Amino acid sequence: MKLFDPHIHMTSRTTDDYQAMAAAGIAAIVEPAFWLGQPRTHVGSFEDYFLSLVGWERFRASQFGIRHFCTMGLNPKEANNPNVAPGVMELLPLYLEKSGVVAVGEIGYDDVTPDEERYFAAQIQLAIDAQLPVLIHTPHRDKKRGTERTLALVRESGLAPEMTLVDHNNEETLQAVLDSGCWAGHSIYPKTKMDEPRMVALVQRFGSERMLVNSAADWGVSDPLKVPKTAQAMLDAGISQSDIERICWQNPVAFFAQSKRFDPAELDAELNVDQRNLFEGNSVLRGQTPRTD
Amino acid sequence: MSPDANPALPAALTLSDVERVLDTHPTAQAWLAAQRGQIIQGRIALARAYAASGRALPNQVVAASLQTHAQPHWTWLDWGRLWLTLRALEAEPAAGQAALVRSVFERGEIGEQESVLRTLGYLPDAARFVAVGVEACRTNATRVFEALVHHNPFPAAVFEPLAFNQMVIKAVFMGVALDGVVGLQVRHNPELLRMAEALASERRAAGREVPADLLRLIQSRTFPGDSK
Repeated sequence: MKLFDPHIHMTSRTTDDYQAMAAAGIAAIVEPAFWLGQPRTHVGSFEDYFLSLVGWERFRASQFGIRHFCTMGLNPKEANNPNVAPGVMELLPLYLEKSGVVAVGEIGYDDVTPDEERYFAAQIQLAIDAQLPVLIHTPHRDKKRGTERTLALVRESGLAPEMTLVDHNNEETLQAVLDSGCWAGHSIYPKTKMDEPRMVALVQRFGSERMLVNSAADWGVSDPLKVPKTAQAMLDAGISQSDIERICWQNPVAFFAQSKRFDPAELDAELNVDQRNLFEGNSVLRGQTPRTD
Repeated sequence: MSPDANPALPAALTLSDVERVLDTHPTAQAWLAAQRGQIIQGRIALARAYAASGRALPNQVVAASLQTHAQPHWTWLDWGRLWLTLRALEAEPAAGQAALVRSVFERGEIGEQESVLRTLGYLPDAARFVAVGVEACRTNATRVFEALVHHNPFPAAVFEPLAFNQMVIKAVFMGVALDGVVGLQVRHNPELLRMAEALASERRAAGREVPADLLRLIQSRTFPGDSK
């Protein structure tokens, strides 16, 4: 079964992870633009990060047979920084045009401040204008309230629910998100936030329609193999193969294909790997024999 | 609760206050003498001196008997860095002072950020530096977060309710003990109670443990001014 991880921060992961992901059947990923663990102090830092998402990181993934897409956006935390936020908003119309950019994101609330709301609303409008879907981060603190306000803002803005993926859901937020007609993402972590057994329970209760799972693997304790592991847990629990395929492949493909930035049929073909290819003179290899498919 | 009812900031420390402490330690005293010959003006000079002080001053806690005003867990390095900041503030026009303090925080490595946060509340008219404190809450580096949250009068004195509440909930998330939070009882409010109850509910729905600190927040249901 081909697998899709629709939310993973590969900038903070090593080639060991790419190798393991490829071996486990992950064929496509979406890397959302987010913060780097500590605040950026210059707009230029965002620009260089955006360039790496569509440059080096995309290349690294391709060397392991994985198709790498990304989202572009001003994340909720850094929306609070008046020294960078306006400048990033000026960059976005350009970076949303880049090849392989499949949504505006991750946007949303972190603390639920007025600045966060302002930039959240402005970026929803950017998405509507660019006809792109939106990937929304729900806060980890005061999550239920933050999700309610998120759904209200989406409703007010006129953004179509089918173009909206609300991520990091849990038992207390999922019903409202599904009721709104939006897609629902779940980040599966080793200990906190959401795990495989709880995810299985949610799928058994709510089914597979508009449901997605991801690893949200980043610089913290996280596991880039959570999508295959969750697929396995669902299989072990007796959830049907077709439901699992829907959650782990068809749903993310369908959601992001709305961007019209890739052809879903093209995703079904194998990505040929030629590790002899260089990116700006750089190779991922350090003395190994290149793999050529 | 109105801002007037927030706990007061401590009295600001002056250069003389700080020098009185530094002069009691030979290494600190020598460092101070050398610094007096320097011009500490502007972001770059302050940032360089701040960084260099980390190799010059002992990062050991100053005995309580030597500190009449500040926190008993401050180190010689914290006092030295406070001196540098006060000197730089003296040389900075009023309009640029908030940005100056923010820049030394933003360009600080972890130890420097800890010094900024511990001493923040003791700067002149410290309330104007509230943005530095709120920004610091976004850190995931536990030591930096603790420097703001533990034994520090600054948040309770100057944070708006939203920022204060998010700080307390984040402390629970990070496993940072609430009993070190200055002014928690005084600043407790119905919205913080709601957030605590929502988090407890979320944890129970997930089959996860509800932290003891969270239960204590929920149980302390009387708010300042309730009985009046």
